[in-house]
Amino acid sequence: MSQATTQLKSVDDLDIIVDADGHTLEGIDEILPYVDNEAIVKQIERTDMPYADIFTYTHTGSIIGEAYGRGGQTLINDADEADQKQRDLDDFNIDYSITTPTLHLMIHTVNNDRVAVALSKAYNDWVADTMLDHSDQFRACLVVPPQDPQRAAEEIERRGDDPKVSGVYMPPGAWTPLGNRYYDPIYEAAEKHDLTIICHGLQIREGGFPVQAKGAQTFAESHVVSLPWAVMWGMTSIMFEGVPERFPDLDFVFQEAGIGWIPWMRWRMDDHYLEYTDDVPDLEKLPSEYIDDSFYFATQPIGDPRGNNSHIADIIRMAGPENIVYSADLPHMDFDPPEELFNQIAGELDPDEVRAIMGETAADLFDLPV
Amino acid sequence: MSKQRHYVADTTGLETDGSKVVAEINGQEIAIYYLDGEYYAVANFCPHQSGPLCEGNRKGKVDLGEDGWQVEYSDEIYVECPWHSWMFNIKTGEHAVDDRYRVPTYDVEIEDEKLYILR
Repeated sequence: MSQATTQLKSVDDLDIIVDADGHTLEGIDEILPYVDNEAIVKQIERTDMPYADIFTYTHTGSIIGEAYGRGGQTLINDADEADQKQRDLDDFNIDYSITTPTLHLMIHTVNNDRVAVALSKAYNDWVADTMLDHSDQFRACLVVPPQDPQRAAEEIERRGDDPKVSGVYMPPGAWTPLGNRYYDPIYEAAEKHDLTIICHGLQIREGGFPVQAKGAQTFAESHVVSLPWAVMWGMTSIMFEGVPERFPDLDFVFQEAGIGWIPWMRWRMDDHYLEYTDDVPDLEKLPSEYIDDSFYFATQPIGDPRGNNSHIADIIRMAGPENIVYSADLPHMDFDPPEELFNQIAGELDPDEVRAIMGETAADLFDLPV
Repeated sequence: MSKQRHYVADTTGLETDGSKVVAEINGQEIAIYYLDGEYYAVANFCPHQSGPLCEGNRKGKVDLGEDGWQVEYSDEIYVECPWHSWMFNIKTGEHAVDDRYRVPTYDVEIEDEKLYILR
């Protein structure tokens, strides 16, 4: 019996597990020593509240300590970042982590462009120094300043050839939607260096989208909708403004929005393309066909089908099994261990599809040694 | 089964570009358009949600130019369904951007200034 058809009994039967959306928990104090401009260091140090005065995100609703920060119940504590990350991977038998930032997911909220450029470079150097150099299991996602696409492209030129750099982060909450030609220098540089565009869901902490969400009373209500909305908006803009047509070799990964909405969005985008044909001259085929070719969706938070595993499998069938990649979101508090996905699909999908979703597709996408 | 010839209309009044007539042939509504000196017959039926396709406007299609920036407007050989704006090429029956969607088209014959479709 070939490996592909061998029934999978547990995650231990998998050859590779990739977390396609892991995180660092960088604080501003850790990044500052990597900022290479004294004036900018002083500017940041002199602020009372750098998370509000330098990064200018605001919360949709109330924030709770458990959500992301070190003060809450994350799996990580104040120990060395790389050691903790390694421990997470070991605990859950994850082979690779595609690591995105936490604080710097909000790089687009930095109002001062020079500071945004400096912080982007500083984060990338920090993650290389503290993470990539310490383990072969970590892969980094570059932070680049969307405020200045030309300098963002220069940053990709500077760091893009590192084999442990796997992608470029694009924030779906930025004021200028992600499909706009304004960002073409970033996409061009990413394509040149074979880097995947990574679009991560955001608790809406900036004014760009959706403005009306401001004023929610609770963290929970805003978190329910903010992350998938942000990703849906980013993906739709990328699609209809023709980024996959202008940069056909680019791949895109959409993180932390779950996957239940994908079948519906495939249909909805196709329907709009067929109805508003004149409005979308940049595309040459159905949006769902671009999705099939180059869009990938990270599973966390996979959700609870209330005891019926076939629901998740059916969603994956409709979304396209080749385009689904497991993600944990470690160490954030709403992470999914590998079993959370595996146990729902192992008895439903073909074993080769399960192997692909749990790690092989991501290994191919991010060129990971297997 | 060989096709039957069905009278639709006289050519009189259907000699300006874009003019059309809709006739019912054995329960099927079919439109004949006069375009670029030729007559084209297409079902008055949209395969999207069964709308009355040929009651919609005739129009051109917007395409991206070779420079990847300018947009160009094609000849007005498309009809846009009045229900959901799906556009079909009157000459071929194909959807404007996806040829997997298609409206039936029919051969047209002219004899003694009378228009017939073969169905």
